[in-house]
This record gives sequence, C-alpha cells and structure tokens, in this order.
Amino acid sequence: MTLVTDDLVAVEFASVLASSVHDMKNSIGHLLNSAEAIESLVPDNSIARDQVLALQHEARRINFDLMHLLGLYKFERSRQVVNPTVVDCEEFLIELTAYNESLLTSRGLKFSAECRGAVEGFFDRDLIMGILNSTLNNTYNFAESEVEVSCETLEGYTVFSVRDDGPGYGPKVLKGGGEQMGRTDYATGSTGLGLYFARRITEMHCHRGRPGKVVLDNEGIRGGGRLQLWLP
Amino acid sequence: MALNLKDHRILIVDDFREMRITLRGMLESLGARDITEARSGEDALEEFGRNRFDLVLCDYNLGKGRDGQQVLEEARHRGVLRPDAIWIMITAENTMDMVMAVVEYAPDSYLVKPINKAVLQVRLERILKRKSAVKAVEFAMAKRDYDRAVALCDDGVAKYPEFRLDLLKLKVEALLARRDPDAAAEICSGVLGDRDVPWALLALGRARHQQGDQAQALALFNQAISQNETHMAAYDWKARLEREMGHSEAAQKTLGQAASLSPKVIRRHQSLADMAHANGDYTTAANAYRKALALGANSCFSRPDDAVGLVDAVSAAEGPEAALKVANELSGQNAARRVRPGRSAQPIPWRITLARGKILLKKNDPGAAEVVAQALEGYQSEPEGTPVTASIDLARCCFQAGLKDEAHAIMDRLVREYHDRPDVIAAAQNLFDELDMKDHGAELIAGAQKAVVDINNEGVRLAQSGKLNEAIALLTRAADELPGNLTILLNVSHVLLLKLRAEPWSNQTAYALNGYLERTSKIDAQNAKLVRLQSEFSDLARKNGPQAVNS
Repeated sequence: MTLVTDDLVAVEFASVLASSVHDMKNSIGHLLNSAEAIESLVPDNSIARDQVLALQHEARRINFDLMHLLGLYKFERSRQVVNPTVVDCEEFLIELTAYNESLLTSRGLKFSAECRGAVEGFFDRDLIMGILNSTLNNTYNFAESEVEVSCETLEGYTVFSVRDDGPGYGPKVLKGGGEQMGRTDYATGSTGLGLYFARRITEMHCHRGRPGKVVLDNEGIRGGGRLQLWLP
Repeated sequence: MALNLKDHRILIVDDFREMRITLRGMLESLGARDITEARSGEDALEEFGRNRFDLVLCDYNLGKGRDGQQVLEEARHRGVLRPDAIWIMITAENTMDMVMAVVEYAPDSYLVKPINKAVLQVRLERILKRKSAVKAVEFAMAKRDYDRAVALCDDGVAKYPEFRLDLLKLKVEALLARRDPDAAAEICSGVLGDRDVPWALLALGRARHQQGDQAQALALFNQAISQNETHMAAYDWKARLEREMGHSEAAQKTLGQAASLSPKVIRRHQSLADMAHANGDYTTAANAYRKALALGANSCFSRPDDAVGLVDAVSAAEGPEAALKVANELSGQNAARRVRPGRSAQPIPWRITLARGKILLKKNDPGAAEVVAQALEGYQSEPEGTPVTASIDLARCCFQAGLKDEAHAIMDRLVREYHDRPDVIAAAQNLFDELDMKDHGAELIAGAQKAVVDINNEGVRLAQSGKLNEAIALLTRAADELPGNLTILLNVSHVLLLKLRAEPWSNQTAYALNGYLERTSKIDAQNAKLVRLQSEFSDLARKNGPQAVNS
C-alpha cells in the first residue's frame, strides 16, 4: 500500500462521501418501495403492520438525512441551486398529504393540511416539499396526538406552518437552531443538519430583495412546536 | 376524481429491472393494463416506432447510451410523441446538470426518487387535469393554427381558472408566433404586475424584440438572467439578440456561460462553436466542437459540421499536422460507428473527407487532388441540403485541385439555391475575388440569379393567367432541385393555396401545401409571408377540410 498525503485524502473524502451517499439513497429508495409493497399486503391493526410502518419511518429518516448531507456538499461547492416556479399551494398540500398522511395516522396521530385562501406561491417545489416532508416525518416521534400543516399569505410571504402538540422545541434549538450545526444531540438524535438545510434553502429564495426565513417557536398545538417557512 | 389508467398506453423506461417492476406494480394498482417496458433509450425509441403512448415514465439516468433527456428530445424531434402524451421524468438526487437539462426540455413533470405511490397518484391526477385544460391548445399550436390557439386559451381561462397561468403562457407563445407583440406584451405586463414570473419576463423581452426595441429587449433578457441565473432560454435569446446587434464577441460570451451552466445540451455547444469559429477564437471553437461531438454520439442533433469545424479550428489553432491527425481520427471513428446492430457502417460524410483534402492542399501534398475528388463525388450524389459554407469550401478546393468545371457547377447551384440571400451572394463573390476571378464570378452570379428570377416570374405569370397546374409543376420542380430557396418555396405554397381555394377541396393538394409550409418554416419560421399563408391555410382547412388533413 502506498502512503497518501493528508491533503489528497481531504480533497477526495468529500467526493467519495457524496457518491456513496448517492448510492445509499438509491438503496434506501428500493427499500422504501419494498416496504410500501409489503404494507399493502399486511392486514390492518396487526403487529406486522406497525413494524412495516416503523421501518418506513426510519427509512424515510435516513433518506432525508442523506438528502441534507448532499445539500451540505452542494452548498460547499456552490452547486446548490434553487429553481422557483409558480406553485398552486392547494395542489402542493394535496401531494404533501398523500406522502405523509398514512404514516402519521397509522401512529394514531390526527393529521390535517389546510390552505387558507387560494394561495399561489413562487418557490422551488421539490426542495420545499423535501423540507416539509422531513419535518413531518420528525413529528412522528414527537407529536402527542395531532399534527397540522397550513399555508397562507402573510405580509406578502407564502407561509407554511407545521404545528404539533408535542413537548415543543428546547431552549437551545430556539436560540440558535440551524445557525450552527454538527453537534449531535444523542437524546433526540438531532444533528441540526435538517434545520440548517431548511434555513439555507429558504434564504436562497429571494424575491425583490427580500429573503425567505425559517421561524421556530412553541406556538404549536397546546404549546407544541411550530416550524414556519416564510417564502417571499 | 378517481384515477383510472385502464385506457392508457404506458411506456416505462428504466435500465433497472427492480425499478421497472416497482413502477409497473404502482401503475397496475392504479388500473393500468397496457404497459410496455424498455430497458434503454434505444429500446424506448424502437417502441415509439411501434406504438403511440399516452403516458411515459422515463428514468433520467439510463446507464450507457442515451439518457432520458436525449430520448425525450429525439422522440419530440422525430414527431413520434403525440402532443397530448404525458412524459414524466424520474430522477435520482437532482444534480445541477441533470436538473438543467430536464428543465430545458420541459417534460410534463418530474419525480425525484424515491417514488411514492400516493405521490405518483396525485401527481398523475393533476397532470391529467392540466392536460385536459391545455390539450386542445397544444394541438392547435402543433398545427401552427395560432388564431385558434389564442381563442382556445381565452375559453380555457374561463373554464379552468386554476390553470390560468399555463394558459396565459401558451397564449403568449401563440401571439408571438403570430407576430402580435403588442397583445403578447400586454399579457406579460399583467402577469409581471403580480410577480417576477420568469417566462413572462422572457416573453416580454421577445415581444419588445419583435416590436424592434432591441435595447429594451436586451435589458429584459439581462433582468431575467440576473433574477434566475439558470434561466437558459434567456441566455439563448440574449445571445441571438447580441448577434443581431453585431456584438458577436458578447454573443459568444453569453453562449459560453450558458454552455457551462447547462453542459448537456448539444445545440448550445454547436452555436458556441460556430460563433467562436466565426469570431476567430479557434481554441474555444475546438473545445466546443469536441463537446458537441461527444454528446452527438447519442443525439439526434449530431451534424457533420462539428467534425468539419473541429478540423478547421484545430488547423487554425495548432497547424495542419495536428488537424490532419484529428481528421484521420474522425474518419476512423466514423467508419467504425454502426447505427444499429445488423446495419452496415455509415459512410464517412464527404465533408470530413473534404476537411482532409483541404489540409493536404495546404501542405501541397500530391495526394490532395484525389481526396478532393472523393469528396466531390459525395457531394454530387446528393447536393441538396449542403450548407453554404460547405459548398464554398468544396468549390475552393476544386479550383485549387484543378477541377474548374466542377467548381463552377457547385457555385452555380449555390447561387441559384440562395439567389435572394445577400450574405450568400457576398460570400460567393468573395471566393471569386480571393481566387482573382472577380469579373468571371460576377458574371456567373448574375447569370445564376437571373435563371431563378426567370423561373419565379414565369411561375407567377402562369398563376396569374389562371394556369395553376402549370405554375405548380414548374415551381415544384424548382423547389425540389433547390430546397433551400425561400422565394420558390413561398411561391409554390402560394400557388397551391390559390388552387385549393379555386377548386373543390382536395386532400392531396392540402397535403402537398402542408409539406411546403413545413419546409419553409424550417428555413424561416418568422417570415411574414409564411405566417400569412399558414393562417390562411388554417382558415381554409377549418372551413372546408376534413379533420384528417390536419393531423
């Protein structure tokens, strides 16, 4: 074996990691498809079903983590692009519901999505959908009984809110969430990466001089957490 | 609305069996019964030859050979895709190159893996709804019946308010195609009052361009780019405008930016190469030709110009030895490439042979004349469709190789084909000047031009005296011999339209007319006389013709 200088390793690691992440994402994709196929075969209210759903939830979690990792890699290389289009938010929420509803209700959570007024947004559909899906997948662990998504126009922004009735965000997250990251909170399994990704992507949505923003607070259902995406 | 795919003809294109099974399962659970699978872009294109599909799910990354975008591009180019067919591109994690390429060729939708059945279902429901709102407009656009497209958009906006923006966008396209920039600009301004919608900004620029306001158009294209630096169509329009304004260096720079942002689109590399070549920047030209050649292996837009241009550019940048090496390599590659298994190797395009001949002439190689003669033979077997620069190059080499009569014949044909194009006439005269044959050249050019003017005049005279069939016979013959001649094409179209109007409806005449209008539109889609003929033909067809004529 030949020796490799530190420099060389450092340069290559990120690329190798990125292509591994791609590969892992592919595998997770197949795994998710298999889990979905099995789900339709197992009877309702069975232990097997709970297991399959738990499997789906965790696989999705990995999928989103990988998505965030790739995002990070692209931010570093300035290769992350935002491609905004006009989005019919009602239709957007229908798709969001299609993706999340069965998993959340299977855990006994009440799920609702509401578009307040006919809202037409202007944003990168896939990226924002990814952020909201990832957020909703996390409520699977934290919500007590209820999760609610809404979309409305406020002060000229299109605002998506995800509210649950869980314990809410801790003071640390509320103070500096998403601005620094990399320190894993082993109790919640949170690396802060998801939030960081959300902030970066939202800020890249800039319209007539106004950037988008993420707002975190505990104005959720009965004092639960609330995450808002403000898109200009 | 319950989604049921039972009446849809569906094609799944994916190189992984696993994925094809998954997609098939999802579609079958949505009622699909008629599903065909293809495992590569090449297979998919063969399937298109056999079937008319309503719904295509195509993975972007298909391993070796064509990718999803190239398959979509080629299916559209070959006209094997119905205007109302739905194309869903499936992509893995969106890398920038891929997103750019996919967005540029606008499939109806794209889904990012992993695919989820519930999401696929709501997405399909939505697309089908959208299609029902825009389908009639898209058919009218495909038939170039822009008046009808505009009317249908107006109806649609009332009927389908949720697809208002899609319909307005189509309406603006139809208005611009009809050369009605005032109406188009008004709609764009209305849309832009609410938001900086990218397409509206670009279309407003195009409208200003049609109104003749170049400065305003350029400002709008720049604004579109600064608001969204990946708005590729805005770069193309900007470059086109810069070229028109005579800023060829700026146009090259714009194309260069676009090509590096979205490196998978062959036609942009080709434009960049041609532009750089014309600007004398041979290093940039050679690089761009190389990229075009690499992409051309899997593209329906590959063209001999790229190989020829590469040899030329290398010759200018690095000298004849390097260029000869490139030319020999290209000849070798071309001889080795097979279209499909079972078919014979493609003949080496004569233009590559000519490129070799040109360098050998420059080196005073004794074998040069023979190579030029080989190229000449290739040209003579099918002179139709030869690009102007290629004809002039060939004529120059023939003169230099002592093939004077042959050179004259080439120039005579060239001038007759483009007798009304001042740029071509000037280029032809330049060649004669360069060879110290100024007067002789002027004489040849005048004679050839007169020959075509006489044919056109005779055609018009016959038509005016009511001898429509004789006029058609004369002009058709001329149009077949000189397929690039715009005046002849317009005249033959005009006379066919007169015949269609004067006599009881004939499918055969309508079909012929449609063909000539198509050909004309390939040369100059914006030509005012062409647009008028198209609109009159559409009117007439709607009133008298059976539906079958139009499809």
